[in-house]
Amino acid sequence: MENILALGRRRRLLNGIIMSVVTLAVAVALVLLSAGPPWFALVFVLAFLSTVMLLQARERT
Amino acid sequence: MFDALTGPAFGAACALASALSWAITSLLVRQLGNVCSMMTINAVRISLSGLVLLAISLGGTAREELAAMTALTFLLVASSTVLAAGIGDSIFFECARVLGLGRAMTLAMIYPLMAAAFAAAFLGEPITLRSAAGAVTTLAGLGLIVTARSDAGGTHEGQRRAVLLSFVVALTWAASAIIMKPAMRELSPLTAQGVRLPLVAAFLWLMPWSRAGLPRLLAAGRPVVAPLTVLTALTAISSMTWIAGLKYSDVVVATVLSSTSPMFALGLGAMFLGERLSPAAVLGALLTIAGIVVLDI
Repeated sequence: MENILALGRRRRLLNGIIMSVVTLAVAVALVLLSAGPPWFALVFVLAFLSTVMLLQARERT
Repeated sequence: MFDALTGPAFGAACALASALSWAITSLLVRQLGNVCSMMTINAVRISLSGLVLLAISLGGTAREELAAMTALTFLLVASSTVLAAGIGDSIFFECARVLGLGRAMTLAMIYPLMAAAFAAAFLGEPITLRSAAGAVTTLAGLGLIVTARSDAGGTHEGQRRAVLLSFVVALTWAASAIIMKPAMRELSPLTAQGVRLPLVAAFLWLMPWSRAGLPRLLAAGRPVVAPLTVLTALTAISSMTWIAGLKYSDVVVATVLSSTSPMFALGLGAMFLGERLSPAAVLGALLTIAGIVVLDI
């Protein structure tokens, strides 16, 4: 059930890609900095957000 | 740029993402198993992620999708949920207790093959030579990985029954995937899991063994907040990408690729836990990757 136009879809796709890159960058940074386990919660929350954005772009919702 | 989203590779990527997130989920659930029972952690992670997905989906198109949903679709979603999470998973935990996790996983791994046969019979999805070769190669590789990591569990008592029950588990998982496929024509992955996970959670909380571990989990306090946050996010990712894989690709591709979590667990164990890789496990990983390439390209 689509509820966004091409512009909204492009925005979601772009946000999803940016969020995926940020997720990877944060994960690498946390590994390099030997951050404590609680910090890694941030990586999975970011990964969740990027998944939602990419699926919304795919579904046009 | 949208081609990448609409192509079949997107569905395959979703199925693989589901397997990766499931591998990390399994590691974390096992770690938290020291705090309280796995059934309680299972119920908590599914409840929290179900609430998050329901809230996000209601902020989007869920209300319209649910209003437009036919009774048949709701029946398909509900029966798929009861079959997989209610019956299949419960029997699987019992099989894993009797046979050991490795052996139970190996036996249940025939579920993608059953799903492929059901998809051919009921959904008209053709079984091509390539998909059959890819599926068999991937599952053979996973079998090698799982048996190489197999824990020596189980006693002779009840083993034959557990082996037979493992086939029932595979049957329920395969049937669940097949039942969800037509329902996904009407629902987005977000809404579908926003409906399914709260149903699973309600079912799990009805079980006394799920509720039994709750006081110990609450008593654990702040140290479990971060792992539970991670588990909630991972469960949401895993469930959404599993259903997206099923929606955007063939049943055989989605079910086989989403079953590759042992391969990811092998890599994660070697990278972060310093686990040694046996030659059989390495061969299994290579076979699995070869199977994925055959399935996906």
